[in-house]
Amino acid sequence: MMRPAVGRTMRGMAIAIAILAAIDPVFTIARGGRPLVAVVAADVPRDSAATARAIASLRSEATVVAGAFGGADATVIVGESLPLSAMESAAPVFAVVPEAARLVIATATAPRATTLDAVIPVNVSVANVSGVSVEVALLSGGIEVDRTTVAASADTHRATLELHAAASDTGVQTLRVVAAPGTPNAVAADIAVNVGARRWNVLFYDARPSWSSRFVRMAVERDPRFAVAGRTVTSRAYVSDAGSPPSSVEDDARLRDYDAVVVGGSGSLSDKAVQGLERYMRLRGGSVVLLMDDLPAAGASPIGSPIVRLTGAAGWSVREAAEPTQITAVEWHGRKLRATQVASPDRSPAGMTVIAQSRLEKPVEPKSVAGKSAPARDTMPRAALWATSIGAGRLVVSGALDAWRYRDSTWSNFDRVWQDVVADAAARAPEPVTVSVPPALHPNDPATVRVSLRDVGLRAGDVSSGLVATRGSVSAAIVSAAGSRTPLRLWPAGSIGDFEAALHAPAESGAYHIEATSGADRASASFVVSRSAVLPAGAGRAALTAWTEGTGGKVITATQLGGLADAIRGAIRFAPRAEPWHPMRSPWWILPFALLLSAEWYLRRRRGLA
Amino acid sequence: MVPTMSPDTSALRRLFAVTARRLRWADLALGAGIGLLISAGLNAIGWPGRSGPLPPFYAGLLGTVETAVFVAAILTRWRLAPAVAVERATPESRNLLFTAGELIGVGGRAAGHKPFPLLRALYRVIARIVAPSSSAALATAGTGPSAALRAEAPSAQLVLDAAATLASRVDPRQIVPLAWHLAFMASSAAIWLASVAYVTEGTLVSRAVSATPMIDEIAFTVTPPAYTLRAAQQVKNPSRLSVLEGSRIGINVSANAAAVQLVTLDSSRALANARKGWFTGTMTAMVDGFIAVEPRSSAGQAGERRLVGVTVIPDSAPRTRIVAPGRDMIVPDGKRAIDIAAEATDDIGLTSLRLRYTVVSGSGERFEFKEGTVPLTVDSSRGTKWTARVKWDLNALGLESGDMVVYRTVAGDARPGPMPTAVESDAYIIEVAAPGGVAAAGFAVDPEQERYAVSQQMVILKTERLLKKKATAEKEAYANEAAEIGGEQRRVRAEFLFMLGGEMGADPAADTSMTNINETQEVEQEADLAAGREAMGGRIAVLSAIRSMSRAGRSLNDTDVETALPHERAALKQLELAFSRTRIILRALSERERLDSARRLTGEFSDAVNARRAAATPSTDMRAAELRAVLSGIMGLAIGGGTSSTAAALAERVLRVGPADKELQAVSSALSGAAASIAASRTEQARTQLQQAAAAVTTQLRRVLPASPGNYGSLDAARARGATVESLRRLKP
Repeated sequence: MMRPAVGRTMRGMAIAIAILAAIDPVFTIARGGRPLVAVVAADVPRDSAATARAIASLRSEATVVAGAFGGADATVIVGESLPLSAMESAAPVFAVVPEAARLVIATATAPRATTLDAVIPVNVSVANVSGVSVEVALLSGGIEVDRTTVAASADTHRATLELHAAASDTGVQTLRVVAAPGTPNAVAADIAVNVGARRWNVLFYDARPSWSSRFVRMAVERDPRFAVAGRTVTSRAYVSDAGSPPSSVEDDARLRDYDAVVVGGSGSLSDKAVQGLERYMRLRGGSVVLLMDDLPAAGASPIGSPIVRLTGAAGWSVREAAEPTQITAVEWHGRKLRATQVASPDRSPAGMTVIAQSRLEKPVEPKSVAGKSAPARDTMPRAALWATSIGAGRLVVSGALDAWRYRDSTWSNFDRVWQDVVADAAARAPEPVTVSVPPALHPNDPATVRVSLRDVGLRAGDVSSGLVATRGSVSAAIVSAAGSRTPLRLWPAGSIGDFEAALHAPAESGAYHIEATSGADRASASFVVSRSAVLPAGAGRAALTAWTEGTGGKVITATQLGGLADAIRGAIRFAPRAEPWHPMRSPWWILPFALLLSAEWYLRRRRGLA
Repeated sequence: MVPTMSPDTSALRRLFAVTARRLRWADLALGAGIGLLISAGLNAIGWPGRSGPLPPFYAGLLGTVETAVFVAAILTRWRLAPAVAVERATPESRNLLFTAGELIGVGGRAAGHKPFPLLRALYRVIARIVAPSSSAALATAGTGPSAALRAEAPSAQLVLDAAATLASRVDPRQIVPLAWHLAFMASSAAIWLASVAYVTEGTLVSRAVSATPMIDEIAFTVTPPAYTLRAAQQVKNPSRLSVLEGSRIGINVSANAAAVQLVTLDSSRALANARKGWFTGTMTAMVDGFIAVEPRSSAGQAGERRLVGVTVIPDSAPRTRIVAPGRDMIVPDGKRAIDIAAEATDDIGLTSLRLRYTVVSGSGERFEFKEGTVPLTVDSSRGTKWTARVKWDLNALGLESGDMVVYRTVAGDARPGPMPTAVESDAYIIEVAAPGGVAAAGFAVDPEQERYAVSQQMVILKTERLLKKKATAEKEAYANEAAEIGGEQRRVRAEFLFMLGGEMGADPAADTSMTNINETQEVEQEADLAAGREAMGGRIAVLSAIRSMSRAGRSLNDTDVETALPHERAALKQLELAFSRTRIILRALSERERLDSARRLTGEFSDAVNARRAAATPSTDMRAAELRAVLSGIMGLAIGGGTSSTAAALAERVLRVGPADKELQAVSSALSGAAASIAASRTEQARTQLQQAAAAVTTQLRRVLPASPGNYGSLDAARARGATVESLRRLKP
């Protein structure tokens, strides 16, 4: 009676399969066959389709995780830029890039902080421009406020342009730059700007009454971005003050409150005053704007003359013109000063940066004051405004001796030019505490926050002040729009006075700022967290290639996806890992289950039992 | 064979026709009643609103008619045929009338009222299934009476006769009583009328009253100033008015409101309530601005404002010029006639064009002036452009040597007001020069006349050019041109003479005029210039220049151009010396201005103190502040945080910033458009308009605000730069 037994055996086996499937036993085995690969899209909107194709090409060969994963055996970045999240893993990185380089916004920079009394310039650099020109728009709060079309360089296919936005309220202003808007190649970058109400403190110090300084001061006083104080030494024992200025520029403690010091009557500065200004620039990082009224006396010793001491330029000459000449600079966008007398150093002092030049139509005879032979009659452009670095500070020198005579708006843009020059000088002066953070982040993105303490760093770096033990405290926190604070742990960075903190962007989208405090000084920097936030591509493909190759990976194009799995296998050596194994979860068990039951039923039918 | 007679079916036909007619009326009445009830229901829920296309009364009528026709069409399609209706209303007929109707073709469906094709096919299928044997008969169902039922058949005649008899006794009014339908329609109409009266507050034919105050229409009547002789214009619901300065604007506002406020750039007042729903007012347009009307309810609730920009076109002053001769002339005598041609233009219309002259005779303080007018032959056919000519006989003026005639045209328009409406052209001079003499000195052309820049440099230039032409020029022309240059030289000299307040000799005589110069004497006294009170270098130089100009002028008058040129150059050199930056030109102080030497050095040094003033507070740029506020408002609207009223208020605010600024007018128009789009829920269009406004306001702010300085790197970078510069300084010798 073998057949009944065979049938019962078959049935029993089928039942056993079913019971085992219900139990679903698990075993731990060491697997070495499938690498774990993380696939990250560099730009989610643009690269999502290519990312899906990459995932599909890898599924058969590897265990794929969509998104950055620190424990992956390899990371595949799809796109043309290097996302921050992909840099967390130490595993080899492979890049899948489009065949043709796509339009990218390489850089988009704007002032970190501004006020309501100024417009926000946004400097944009666009790379991989196909065609002659590219259109770029600037959106503020989702509304387009500026747009321009710019020609691209024929050889580098890059275009650089400037757009402008105006702040309507204080707080964090989010801006978005879009290149080629409304086209399939459109690409964007987000920026955050902190709009505040801080005014620059500027001190006008005249060692003697000076027309030049007076009119520059009047121009700066008319600008609401500045809080101006002034002291004019009218005679040996008497001064004329505006506001509450320090008694002299030797008062370091009072002077540190000012972002810029404008000096008039510079020929009458005392040695102590010069030393005070030097300390101001070196130990405070402040900016000094020197308005020359006259030249150093002929044959003046470099040590004795305050102008020579400050500027480092020993020989000077004045070029006089019968008609007022234009003094212009590219950055002034067509604005100009005029002067008939322009003093400039005979030889460029070390570190000299020319801000503005004067040009003559007719050659004239320049007069040399230092007794040296004057150069021949020339129409060469001369440095009328120039700058140099003194320590961490900046010295701006104006050789336009009589520009104040031509300050009328029909002659020049006197007021606006000097407002911009002093604003630039004041903006360069570091605040007691500075904070920097990337302007836009995706939720949970890693980032680094940097905090600098000015006084600690500059004193420590200044050899002349000697080894001074400096105490200080600093703390930082992330502050949300609702006011909730999350402390950040700061660690010393490379230089004295510099600190860093590791930050993971909050999971909730919104505007945040980092607030850093040191004693009575505080500073903040804003950033925006958004899923759709787009950062400038930066170096773009070049950075991606460098990172990829540095990690032992490879860059392939989107058409070579078929070789991606092999490339990964060839590059990685992953250790077999213990993995749970569920043998009964295989769908193939259906086959024997069905065959066994079918066979048993067939036999029963043959016997007439079914 | 029995002869057959056509039965008399007229009574039957009449009965069925009347019945059919009454059925139609009943259907229409029913439909109308339904339509009226529907309209009443719509009125109850506020449709059509005040802004709808039609007032509720007319909308209801239209809807009622449409509903009535529709219902009647449906019911006619589905209703039982007249014969069936008659049969049902006449039970005693026992199918007699229906059969008769079928026989004569006015009966029910079977007689000619065909069912829908689909239904017909269905009937056939059912028939074949249910009774295949009778399908042949039913196959013809709905296609007409069968052969057995033709009217001519004997049996049919019997039926028709009986039916005709019965029909004569049947009252169609009882078959289709219309009373119920009419009553239904009447009651529906009453309900509807009540609803219309309710929503229109009793006026019935006007628009529905809205819950919030609303403006229906604004009509402007623009009456230009009377002097322009232009007709008044009427405009309805414009977005902008362009009117002549001084125009009277009549405003008529139709609104659902208790009051309407009129807001302009500098005032706000209520319009007069002419009659229910209409408000009127007037204003005079003198400057660019806007007109905003705001409806208000009796409770003070304000409705949506309507904004209309106003551009005032000023009435420009006329322009006139002398076309010919168009230059100064020096003539040897006054016995000649000069052809004068002139023209004048005006934007609206000229009223006068004259030639005026002033004869100047004498010299020094003994000038005599005689004025007059020369009649012109004027061609005014072109309205806004007049031309005039005259051959002016100078003989009539009795000119003598040294006399001068200054002439100009004067044009006038009809502009009213205290300011003079007459405009003068450039003035030209006809000078009668004495041979060998000097024309009246000290007389300069009005310095405000800027026909050309007369300067010593130009005198030299003209003299040089004249010298070059000497070989080829005619003698008389050469002499005339030299005399003209001499006249210019004298004018330049006169300017400097007046600047110095006249010249004083070392011993001025009591009756010597300050401005009457004996130039021969001046030349002889040149050596005395450096003496006495005239020791200042600048003054000396100017005096020397004046004397050189005198010599040059005399030489030019004598047509000795070669001698004149060096004197002119000498004068220029002296002027350059005089006006170099290191020179100071003094003049004697008047009695009031004299310094009191006795007060010098009498102050106490201990009284000197430090000067102190408060730090200057920059004034607020109101334009920038307003534009920023507008931009903030636009951003708020863009994120969906505002209504159409917000956009309209922003549009008005922009116009207040600069009503005459074309770019701001465009911003205001964009915001007004956005307001309308928001009200109509056209989101995309509103967004586009807000975007245009935001971009334009940002451009405006860029013009008035400076750009923020950029980021300049970290403290480390600054330190590195400084260290690099220090190293370079140490390396450089």
